[in-house]
Amino acid sequence: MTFQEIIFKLKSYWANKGCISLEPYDIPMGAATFHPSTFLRAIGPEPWRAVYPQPCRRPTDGRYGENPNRLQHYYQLQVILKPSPNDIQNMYLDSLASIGIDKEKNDIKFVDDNWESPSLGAAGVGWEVWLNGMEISQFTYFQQVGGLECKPVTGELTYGLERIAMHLQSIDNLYNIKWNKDITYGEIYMQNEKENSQFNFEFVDSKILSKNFDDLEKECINLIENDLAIPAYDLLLQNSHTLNLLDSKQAISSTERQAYILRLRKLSNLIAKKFLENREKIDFPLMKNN
Amino acid sequence: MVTKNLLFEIGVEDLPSKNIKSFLEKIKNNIEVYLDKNNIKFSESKFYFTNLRLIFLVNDVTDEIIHEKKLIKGPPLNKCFDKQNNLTKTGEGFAKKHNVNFNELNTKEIKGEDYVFFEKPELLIKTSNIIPQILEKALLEVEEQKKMKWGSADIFFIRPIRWMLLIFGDEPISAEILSIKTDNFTYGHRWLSNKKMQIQDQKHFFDFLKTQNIMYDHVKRKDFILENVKKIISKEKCDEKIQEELLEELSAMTESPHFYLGRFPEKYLELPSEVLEYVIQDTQKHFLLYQDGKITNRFVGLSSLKINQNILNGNEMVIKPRLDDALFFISKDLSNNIFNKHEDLRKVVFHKKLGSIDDKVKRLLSLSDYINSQCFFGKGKNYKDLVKICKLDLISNMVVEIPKLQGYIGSYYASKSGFDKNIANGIREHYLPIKTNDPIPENVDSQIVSIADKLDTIVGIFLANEKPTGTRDPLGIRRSTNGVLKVLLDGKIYIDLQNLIEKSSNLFLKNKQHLAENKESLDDCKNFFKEKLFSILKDDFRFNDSVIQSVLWYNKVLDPYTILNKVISVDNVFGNSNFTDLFSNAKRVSNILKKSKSNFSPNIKENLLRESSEKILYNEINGIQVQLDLYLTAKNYEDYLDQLNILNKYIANFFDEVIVNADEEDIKLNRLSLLARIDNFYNNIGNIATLNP
Repeated sequence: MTFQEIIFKLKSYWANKGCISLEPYDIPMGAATFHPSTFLRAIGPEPWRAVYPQPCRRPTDGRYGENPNRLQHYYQLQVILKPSPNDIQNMYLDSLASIGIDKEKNDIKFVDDNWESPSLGAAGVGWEVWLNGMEISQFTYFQQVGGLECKPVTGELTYGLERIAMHLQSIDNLYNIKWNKDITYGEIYMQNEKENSQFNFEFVDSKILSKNFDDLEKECINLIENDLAIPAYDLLLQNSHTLNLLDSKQAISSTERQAYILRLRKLSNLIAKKFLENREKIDFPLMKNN
Repeated sequence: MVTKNLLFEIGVEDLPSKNIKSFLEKIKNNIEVYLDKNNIKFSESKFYFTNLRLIFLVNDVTDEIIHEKKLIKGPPLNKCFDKQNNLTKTGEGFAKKHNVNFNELNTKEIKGEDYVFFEKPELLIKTSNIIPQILEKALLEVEEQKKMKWGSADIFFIRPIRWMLLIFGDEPISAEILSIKTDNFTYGHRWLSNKKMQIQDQKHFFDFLKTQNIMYDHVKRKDFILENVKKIISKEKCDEKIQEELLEELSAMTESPHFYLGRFPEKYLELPSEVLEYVIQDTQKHFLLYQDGKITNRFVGLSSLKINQNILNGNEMVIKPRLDDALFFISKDLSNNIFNKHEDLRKVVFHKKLGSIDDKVKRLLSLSDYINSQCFFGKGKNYKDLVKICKLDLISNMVVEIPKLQGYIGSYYASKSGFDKNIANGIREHYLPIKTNDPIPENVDSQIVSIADKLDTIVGIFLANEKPTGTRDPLGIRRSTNGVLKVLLDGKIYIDLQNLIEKSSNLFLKNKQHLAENKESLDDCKNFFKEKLFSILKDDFRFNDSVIQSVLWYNKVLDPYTILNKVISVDNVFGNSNFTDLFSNAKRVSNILKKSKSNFSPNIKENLLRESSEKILYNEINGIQVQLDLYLTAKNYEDYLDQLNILNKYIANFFDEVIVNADEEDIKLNRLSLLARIDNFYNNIGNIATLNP
């Protein structure tokens, strides 16, 4: 099965389970959880079901294309189910079956792993899902988002698409993943990995970035004060990525990093509250089906 | 009496793999407590668990409970009616409380006054009606730090609950527990059939689980895994070395274990063993095989499915990139030569109020000098070289990636880079002891650095006002404190910890202006050491509380090894019939001195000694004084007490013949001086007067 077929099949599986099929967000992010469809929609009482692929950037994971298992730009497929349904584990296992991963032939383990994102003020309980020893998904019940308690609880399923593709195509180098029947992952992204690794590790201008961070933070607070939670969140996303770049350039010590994370956390808590307020003002329109 | 067996199964999503047994024990105890409280009799209760189900059994439970006929006394009859002969609130209230009309109540005369009575009839309660409440309470009241919510309901439990099976005898009980409807269904093997099955009774339940190959009994399952892993080990002619923690964890992660022997390419065996153990045991959760103590390229894996090629290949393949990453980091680190990069430690934070690791290393250079001169008589030679490099692996890629490898990786890199063997080992050893049964560092240099490093962390945390409270223990100083004490006790090292703590504190204050001198926190720090020393002497050495206290809290010098020896010497004679008089004399002497408020000089005047028994006692004291002093200097407290024991009969004669409170003031004071000198002999060891053998 090709990489793109995995995406098609998972999207269609979850669309059939009532998920709206969304597209990736247009701002760089470290994980699909940062997509507003997860972070913002997990806030408040309104139900939400969505599925979307999301390219993720983790600058420090760049290896100049030399490591067959690490990338600074990779893909997640994200499923959000709010409230989390009772048969969520079986739904997940069936989704694996839909891409040809048979639970009767593979050893699937749910390995206890509690998740936390300090900069999003978010925490959850859940598992890493292992397929014959390889982590292929993160499975999380959100307990808290933006410092707010989740009520109802959102279930988040995050598929690591490259790893799943490697398993299905029986290969041990992700650059050899067949994207479709003619073109490989490497043919599409090798050049990208090389150039961006250079950018992340060598060319990032930390002066510009730290100034950007300060400026955007100010602007973000201003937007929150003017009740504009959604654009404020976009700025938070940009700052989160900025911090990751500063980190990969090794421009900041771990104390400084901690301080930056705290600043992000403050913003995310304010944004979460503002978003909830704004939704409440319009009477939580998605409650219509309840 | 009719009895029935209770079966309660909670189907859950995969439980965490640690501490489930104690969680279930608590629930089981709660169930027993609430059955007792409700007067429900039963023969035994048990639990079993897998990663997907919690099973509770209570056997031979009484089917009904009888509340016997009972007379309940109410208010006096005249209080139940007012002057107009209308029923009062008092009267009405009593009747209402028992759900009857007032005229259904009886009256009875007690001591000339009429009282109303309610005759409570015999009541039969079906146990099955109250079992659900009992179970719910048992679940709600179990303490568990990590409870979670799921879906829309406001329920908290360790993991989402997916079904509840509740059967009493051969009847299901339908109820709601934690908002979950109980039923008589269970589910079979998740990966094979996931079959939904209607259950009749306990026997039927367990038979069904067996047909599904579900090993529900956690004890038997663990034994089964152990046995099978051992079988493969012996077939492979490998060492029978099985990590207990991993065994426990894996057995909690499955309900139907199967086994396979996996391999990885031999070229990875050049990696340090801690890296292989980390990747294969800690991360991938396989049992590594060892041959003659050395890691082999084989491991035993567990699966919940029968083994096939997919499972084997997948698990073998996953290890390779992880080990490749390790090889990549190691070669990068070695070519970077971390041992030349002292200044990089400035970027590594030790603690936000206490500065960088570089600052720490600078303090350790002074502190280790002090320790070497104070307690090793200058025997340490290379400790400064060790201090300079012992933290450098913190800047290596490998430790940044896998922090728990600190020390191990440093040692490995140092030996690869041609450092002296003792120095290379010292990088790893200076962290010792970490776990309870860890040895202490072997050579003097590592011992010096081990003491200095831990003490610096402990004193720093107290100066930063972050002493441990409850679950908060910044930088793990409880463990560090135990570590320092263990090195001192096991290494037979004498040291005045109070001076050392002050020395360490001065080193902080010299360089960190924002840390204020803080006597209170240093006193806290010293007391913290005393408390930990007390626990070690009590829990590890199993000494009597009062013996430890008499020595520990009485000695002004906080020298743990001296204190240990004094405790040993007192413990040896405590309860020994040859020493009974020593303890009673110590007490008598101390009591007399405590009562006398006089000011007496420490000097005994020979010319004021009147009676023969006090003269003899005085001579005897002088006679043993030199020997006692020698024993004290040699820290030979056992012989010291033996020597002191000789005095008993002279002290006894003294008390028989002499009245301490003589009429003449100077004679009285002289006798008190004599007793004070004896008191001092006891006090050199501890406050022996407080002990009652």
